[in-house]
Amino acid sequence: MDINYQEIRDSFVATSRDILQRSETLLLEMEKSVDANLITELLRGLHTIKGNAGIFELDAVIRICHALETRIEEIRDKGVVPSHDFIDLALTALDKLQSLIGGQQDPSAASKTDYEAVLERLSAPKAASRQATPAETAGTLNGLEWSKKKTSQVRLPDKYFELAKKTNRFLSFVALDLFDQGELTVRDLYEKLQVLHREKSLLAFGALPKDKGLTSDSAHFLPYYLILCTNTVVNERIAELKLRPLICHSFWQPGHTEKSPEAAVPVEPGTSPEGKLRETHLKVSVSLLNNLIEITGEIVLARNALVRKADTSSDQALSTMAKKLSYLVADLQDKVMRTRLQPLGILFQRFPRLVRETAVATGKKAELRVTGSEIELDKAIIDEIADPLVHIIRNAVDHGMESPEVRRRLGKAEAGTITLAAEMREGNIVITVADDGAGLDYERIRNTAVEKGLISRDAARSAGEQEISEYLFLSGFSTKAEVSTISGRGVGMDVVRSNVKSLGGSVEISGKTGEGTLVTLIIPQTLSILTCLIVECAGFRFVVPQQNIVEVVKIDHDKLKTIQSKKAYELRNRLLPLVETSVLIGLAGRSEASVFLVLKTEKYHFGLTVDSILDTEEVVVKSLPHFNDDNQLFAGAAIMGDAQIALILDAAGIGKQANLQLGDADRSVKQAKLLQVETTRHLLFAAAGKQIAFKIFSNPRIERISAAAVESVVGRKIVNFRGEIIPLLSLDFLIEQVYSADAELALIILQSDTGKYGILADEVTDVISDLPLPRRDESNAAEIEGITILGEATVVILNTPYLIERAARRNLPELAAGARL
Amino acid sequence: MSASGGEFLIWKSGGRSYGLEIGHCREVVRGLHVTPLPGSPHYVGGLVNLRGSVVVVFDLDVLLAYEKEKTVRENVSIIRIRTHGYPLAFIADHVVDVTHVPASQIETAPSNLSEAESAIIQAIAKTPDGLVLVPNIETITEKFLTNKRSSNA
Repeated sequence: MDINYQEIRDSFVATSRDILQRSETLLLEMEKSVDANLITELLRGLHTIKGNAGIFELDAVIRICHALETRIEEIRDKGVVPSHDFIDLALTALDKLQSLIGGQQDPSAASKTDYEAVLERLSAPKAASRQATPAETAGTLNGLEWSKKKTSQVRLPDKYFELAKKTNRFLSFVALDLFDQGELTVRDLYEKLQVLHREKSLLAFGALPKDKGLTSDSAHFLPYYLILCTNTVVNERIAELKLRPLICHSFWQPGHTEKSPEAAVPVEPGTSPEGKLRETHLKVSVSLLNNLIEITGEIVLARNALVRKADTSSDQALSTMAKKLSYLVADLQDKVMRTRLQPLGILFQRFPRLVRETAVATGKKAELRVTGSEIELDKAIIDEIADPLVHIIRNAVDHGMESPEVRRRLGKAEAGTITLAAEMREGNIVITVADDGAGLDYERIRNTAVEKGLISRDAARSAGEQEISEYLFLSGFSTKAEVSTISGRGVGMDVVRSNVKSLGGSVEISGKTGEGTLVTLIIPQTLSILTCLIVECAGFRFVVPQQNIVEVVKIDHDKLKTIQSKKAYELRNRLLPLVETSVLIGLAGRSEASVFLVLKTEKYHFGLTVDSILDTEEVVVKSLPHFNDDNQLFAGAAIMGDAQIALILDAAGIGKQANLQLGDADRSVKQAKLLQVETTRHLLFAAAGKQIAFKIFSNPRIERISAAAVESVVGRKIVNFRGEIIPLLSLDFLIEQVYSADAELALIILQSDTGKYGILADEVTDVISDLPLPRRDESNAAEIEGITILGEATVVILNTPYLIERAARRNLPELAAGARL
Repeated sequence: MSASGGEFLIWKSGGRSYGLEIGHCREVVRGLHVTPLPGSPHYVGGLVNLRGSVVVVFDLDVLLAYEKEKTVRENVSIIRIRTHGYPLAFIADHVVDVTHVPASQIETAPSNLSEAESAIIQAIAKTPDGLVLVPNIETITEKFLTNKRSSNA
């Protein structure tokens, strides 16, 4: 029959915290507009807390709630937007409530002065019209009124409701004055209680604590309460037993939807908000959930092992059972993982107040816009990013925003806007905090960096904005001249980064001077179970998270390219940087890559070569040990179906390690394309015993002509080719092209914007797609792009665009000269 | 170590004897497969799976700079240590025994040790079978394993 006090108390604290948080949001909205619904919800919440606090005799909480309710009712009646000061006061009151309820083990012992100051402020300005607070009216209460008042504050533990609902009985709270039971002796009373107890109607009973302020004749007032769960209406049952109740208060009746206590004792309006939630939601401790997830992880592993075994077994029945189990486990896992997900809104709802307070403290005006609150994230991750976000948002107001005067002068709206947005992108959660404030002052960051000796002045001048902004993440780096209570100490962004990094995420900061700052947090939505591809490389097994894999491609060796000693692959006309797993990780074994995975992360887009693909499997992610020099190649370790460990490759880390300094994926593709154009195919030909090549830019035509077709006109050589005059590009700077009239030559015809040009060759040797990069000396003539070695021979690479341009330039004056002739 | 000395677990690795008070040792496991951890420091032998938790294995011979790097993969014995941080174990060629070593036979590490040695060796125990090196678990976990969290433990 005993009530688990601690359990009820925990649930009370948790419920109250939720309500208080919601109240905070409501108060802030009230500041903008008074909406009756807002106020009703607010009052309801406060009333619930007040009622619950009654059970625990938290006098301070009751009084603050009451005073606050009174003030808010006043606002509702007047219908005016509450003053700034009032909102401040109300927020302080909420804080006080929070600390009274959650803070101490024994809040009833909280120092009086502590909350009385708040209470005084709450009641002070409206002393004249004030409704009586309970403390004051109590003096005139008689036993009945007192009991009514008490009862109105009572909330019964959920388990009683559940019991009543399950057995379809009436749940009620009865208060009796033991001094006023007529002829009944204590012994009779005891018998009656025994009867109730035997029929399992009596759930709990005890003395109601009396408080001061009862009328003087209440010395003979001995209030007791009974919590009954009866088959009939409680009044009847009580009458049957000849008890004289002070109050019979029905909490729940069969056949009805849940009744709120106020329905029976209409003291104050409003229904309990959790009434509706009670049936659909359950509060479960996080540690229990974590246990559950861990066990589920192990079940998944055991399932994997079993399925493997069953696959190779000839027992058909076993195989079927394993399959069935496999589906069930997959379902279980999915559901269990979802229990930990929470909407980001839980975190985001704290920020309007943060912005408001920071703005007030710094004398600025700022508004917060939030999107993406509905996105769900693992609770552990939400907890971990709370502090970084607080910091970033605070920074946005304090550092980012200009003062209202400055903003007005700049032609911006007086109140700055901070946009907090969350979205899902490629298995990551991207949270951005953007403000329309002053932006990053790159000059100042440069100067500070130089002053602190982090970078030389020259280097600072040439460093890009992206590079410069990185300094903001260094510990102790602050450009703010004076230190305030809010920010400027230079501790912060480094903590932000390390926090986010520990989650495997990243932070970046960017922004245009004068236009605002943008902080981007990229956080993997990593849950502890990942669907992965198992691959093999040089005898090692690795695990690659499915979320990063775009596709798997079989290597066609013709499409492998080498660009500046870096590997790339021509995939559907785009050049994709390739990372060789065995080289990157430094595996000693022999590796023969036959396929590659196309991996995509927020920043990188590349191919990762592996020897073979083994399987897909769900793995439980286990953390890796950290050493002083952190390697970023692995995101964790996974225990495979055969109980061995395989390492999980971290796509982002590999991209970074492989030095794909290509910024984002788009740029990498663009740059790769650029390289592709520069280095693609070369046409190799022999002329006067020399190997000569040039880069192919438009498809050249190769024709065989007789040397006799080459004519010399006004000191320039042309070819009369099928009635068309094609000027020849002179290679005089390199070789002497003298041919006997009957020699057969190759004419390479190039098409350019300015017309057709020809090159005379003894023989066209080859088209090479992978010519070693030319070496270029200062001494090289402009006509030559460079010299390279192919096999044994030295190859001269012509700068054909230059040659064509020169020929085109010479055309005009020479024609003019020709005309003179 | 109490005044009367203590019970020590003695094992051999690379021809040297190591010992730890049994209070520090959690278990001895034989016949494990070690998965190398590429890119980790040389003294890290790799990872092992002990009943679903991932344990990092250190090679004391390498940590003490007696040997460069060893590759051990199959059939490895380990001594798992009680730590608060990331689960840790030492590689052992074979486990000798648990012996009582009286306090009088335990000496603080001599001052002429190399830098690598003095950071790691806490004491030297004299046993009938020879000298036993007693590693300092605290410094090893502090200096060489910087995990803050112990999500695996």
